[in-house]
Amino acid sequence: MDRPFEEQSGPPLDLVDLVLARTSGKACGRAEALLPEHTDGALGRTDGDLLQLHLGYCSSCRDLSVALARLALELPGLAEVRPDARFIEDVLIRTSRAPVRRALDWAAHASIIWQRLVLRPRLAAEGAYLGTLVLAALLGLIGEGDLARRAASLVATNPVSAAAGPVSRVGLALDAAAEDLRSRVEASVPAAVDSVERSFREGAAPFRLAAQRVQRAVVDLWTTGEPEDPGPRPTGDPPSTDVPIEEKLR
Amino acid sequence: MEGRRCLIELTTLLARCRQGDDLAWEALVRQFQGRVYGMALHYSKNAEEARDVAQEVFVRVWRHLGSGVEDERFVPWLLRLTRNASIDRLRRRKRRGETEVPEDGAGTPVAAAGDPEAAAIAASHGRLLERALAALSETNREVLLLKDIHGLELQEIAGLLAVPLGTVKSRSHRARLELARAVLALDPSYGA
Repeated sequence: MDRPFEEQSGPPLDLVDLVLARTSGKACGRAEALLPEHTDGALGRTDGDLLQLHLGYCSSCRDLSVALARLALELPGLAEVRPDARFIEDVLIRTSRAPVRRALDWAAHASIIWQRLVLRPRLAAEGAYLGTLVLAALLGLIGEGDLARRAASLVATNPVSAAAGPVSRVGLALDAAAEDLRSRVEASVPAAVDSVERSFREGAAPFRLAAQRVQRAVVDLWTTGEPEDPGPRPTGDPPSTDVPIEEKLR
Repeated sequence: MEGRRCLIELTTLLARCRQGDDLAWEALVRQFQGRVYGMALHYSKNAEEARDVAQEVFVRVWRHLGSGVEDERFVPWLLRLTRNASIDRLRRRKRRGETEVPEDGAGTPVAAAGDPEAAAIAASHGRLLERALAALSETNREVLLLKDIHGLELQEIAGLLAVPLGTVKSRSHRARLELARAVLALDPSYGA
């Protein structure tokens, strides 16, 4: 039997559930979506208040909320698990003999490589070998049979003309190459021929000049035993441009 | 030194390690052995495998200490190394057709060390959580492992897993709810 109107102190306890069942349904889904942020304390004030209100009436969401809060405290405790006592020893044994690799920039790398190259004991021998090769190439000794025998015969006979031969051959070869280039380019781009040839000859000029100087130096060395005299050297102190001290004092 | 925490700042420790200080290196290994081994154990579920992986990780750390790893990025870098090494090991094991061999008592949670009664309770909770974690999907478990257990930032996890930040965030929320439900299903008093 229904209570008389004056005896009722509030709405029926199941009224909210009845209304929700006929309208939006239970709000637990929305509450659960907010629970992780609520646990992190990252929920906005309005959402937090609404959630707290829901948790006051919904025991399943409240249990979930408590469980989430406990997990937030207990999960970090699973991060560290102590291995057995031998672990440290094994790691130290495996790492004790290997050096730590250090980060180096490209300049440091280049410097290290250069130092390794320069500080090698074989550097002098390699330099001498390279110099010999250059000299042999200039004298035309490479690619013509026994180098030692050719070198000995060259010294015994006439090294000046022998040195002059290859040097002049280099000049002739450069001229021939320029001529060849000219004839090839002339066929396709006549207008550019002159400038290409000029630039090629200009580029080759220093080499030709250097070859001539080497030739002269070899000739001088062989005939006089000294390099060509560069001319009289200036003697005495250069004329002073300073103002005399008397002038300054005056 | 067993059970003691290193009080030297990580930056100082790393600087000493880079100078070749063996004591600093030992302190660093002691400080992070639990986390590296713990993470490897979560992936491999096998004490011996986890031990091998953890050793391998520390050897790699030793070799690359001087390779420009920023001090403040050291822990995420270390955990990334551990995760990658663990996954590589699992892949090799799968290629060889070997099956997983789960092992109980693979190690003692460091948090449980000390008072025996507290240790027993913590161990019991640890087992409960491990069982609940085992019920989760692989994806959710990994996000939980990286974020809620090892404390990586969402941004770091997004980079590690190569997924957008929003995806990591929503996965993390889902994973925590899933774990809470799993724990409550195993032990309803957990939410009381």
